[in-house]
Amino acid sequence: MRSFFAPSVLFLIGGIAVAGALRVEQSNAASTDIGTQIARLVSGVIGYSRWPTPPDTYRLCVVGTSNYFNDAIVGFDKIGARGWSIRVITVDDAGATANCDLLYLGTMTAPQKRKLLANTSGRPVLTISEDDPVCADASMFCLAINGDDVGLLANLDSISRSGIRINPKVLQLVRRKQGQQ
Amino acid sequence: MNLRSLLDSSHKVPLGLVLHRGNMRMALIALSLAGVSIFFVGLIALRAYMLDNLILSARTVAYGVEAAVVFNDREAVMESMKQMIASRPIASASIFDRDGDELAHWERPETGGWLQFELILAKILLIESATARIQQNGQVVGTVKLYGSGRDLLIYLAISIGCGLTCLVLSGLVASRYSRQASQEIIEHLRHLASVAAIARREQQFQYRVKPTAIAELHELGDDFNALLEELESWQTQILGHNELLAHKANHDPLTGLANRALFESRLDAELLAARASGGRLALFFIDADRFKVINDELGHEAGDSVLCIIARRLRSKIRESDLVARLGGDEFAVLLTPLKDVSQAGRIACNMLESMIEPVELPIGEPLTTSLSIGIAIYPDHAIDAAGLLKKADEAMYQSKRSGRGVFSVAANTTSAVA
Repeated sequence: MRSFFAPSVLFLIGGIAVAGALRVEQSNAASTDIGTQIARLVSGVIGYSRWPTPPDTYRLCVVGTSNYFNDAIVGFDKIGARGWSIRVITVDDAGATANCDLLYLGTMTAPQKRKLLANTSGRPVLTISEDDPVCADASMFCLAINGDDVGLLANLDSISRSGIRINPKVLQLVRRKQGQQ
Repeated sequence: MNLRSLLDSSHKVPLGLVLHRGNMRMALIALSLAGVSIFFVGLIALRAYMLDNLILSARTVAYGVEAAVVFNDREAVMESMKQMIASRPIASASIFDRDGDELAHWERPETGGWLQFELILAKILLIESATARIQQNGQVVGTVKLYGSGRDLLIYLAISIGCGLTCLVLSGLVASRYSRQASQEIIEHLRHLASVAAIARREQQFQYRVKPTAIAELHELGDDFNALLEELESWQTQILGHNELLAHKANHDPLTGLANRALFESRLDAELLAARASGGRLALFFIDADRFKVINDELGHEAGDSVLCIIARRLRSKIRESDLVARLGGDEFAVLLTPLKDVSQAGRIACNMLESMIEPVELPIGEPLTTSLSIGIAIYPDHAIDAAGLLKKADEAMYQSKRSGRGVFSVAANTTSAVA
């Protein structure tokens, strides 16, 4: 994870995609475990998102290898989230994403990710990448895990293409970051 | 006449000053009461407003930083919070996440000693902090805590003091102006009253009156004063009348109305002095009614009195304005002729007097009767140079006339002339 944080080729690619980086500041005071933080972020994103037809139950699909996902599931329990269903799908089963409202992408190869994301295009699926520190891939949101702190990045292009309406508060945050970059 | 000079000016305060002080005190008290109450009402209102404002600010911040808190973006939290509160009366602000960890803290940059003062003010008025929960979709994700500064209080205090002082000065000026106006009228009238009183006191002139005025009490005072002056005036007239009457009574014979012996003697002394000074002369007649005792005894006192009155009238009709006829007592009369040119003038007058008695005297009852006079004349300075001497010489001359057959006049030093 941390190896990606350094300036890399991916960062250069990310420059093409308009990436609003909601980078998390360094903090030594982070006392909450990463799983809970991820759970909070994901539920926060869901809170700011409006699907064209609001689902009764948010179907959360997890794909790829996740260092934190097990912690995150505990976190979901901890924050007392209601109306969610969590399903793990395999990386190669792109068709399984059809029944997902939300796709949590763990570590995977770039072609695998592209394929998965291509499969969701045209459908309102909120995508969050765990393993994309500059949010240059086509997922809408990316986690920025830095030590014990977890932040969130957004990809405005992906958001605008997704068909899911994101609260302007979030977009404002993103734009602010864009302006700073 | 100045009012102040009527009073003891070293210990007394002028009316204008008393009124001025009273008005100033009134203005000060009224203004202080109004000012203090308005100040406190304002303070209470301001405090409520500030508390509301602080709570409102906290809610605004909570709403504004919501997304940033949800996404754990400290920089964004700090920035949007700063944007929202920098211009507000807030001393410091903190934002905590749902675990109670501080995400951002902001403090107003120190601006001189005022901030400390503002904080103290805020503390005194119990406007310290306001808290608002940051919520996303009904879920608490953090809290905002704002510490209010007393900036508005400080401004209010400054404006209050400024306005208070300005009002104090203005109302002082107005009060002083009005009190001067009011006191001017009162003082004017009082001075007028004092001047009337002073004229009455110093010159005994009671005919002046106090003018009417629009101020009721002063008008009443003036009326009473005028009534007093009227009374004084009538008293004075009465007393003068009495005095005149008494003086007349003291100097005149009540029966004939002629001067009495006292007046005659004082007149004689005065005329002698004048004659001595001017070197002039004067004549003294001593006159006795002949056979008066017989008339009195035979015809009664009433007839005697009538005779005396007629003699007095006839004697008076023969003298000049500057001369004096007096009744010395009983049937004795005296005449003072002054100025006198020579002895013959006195003789002529004496002749006239004797002639005037030829006509019979009408009595209230009984037959008319004729009476005659015996006249003795003494001339100053020919026969004597003092009153006693003159009286003595005239008296002697009169007896001389009696002896030589009544109805005549004699001049002292044995010179006798007989008439008819």
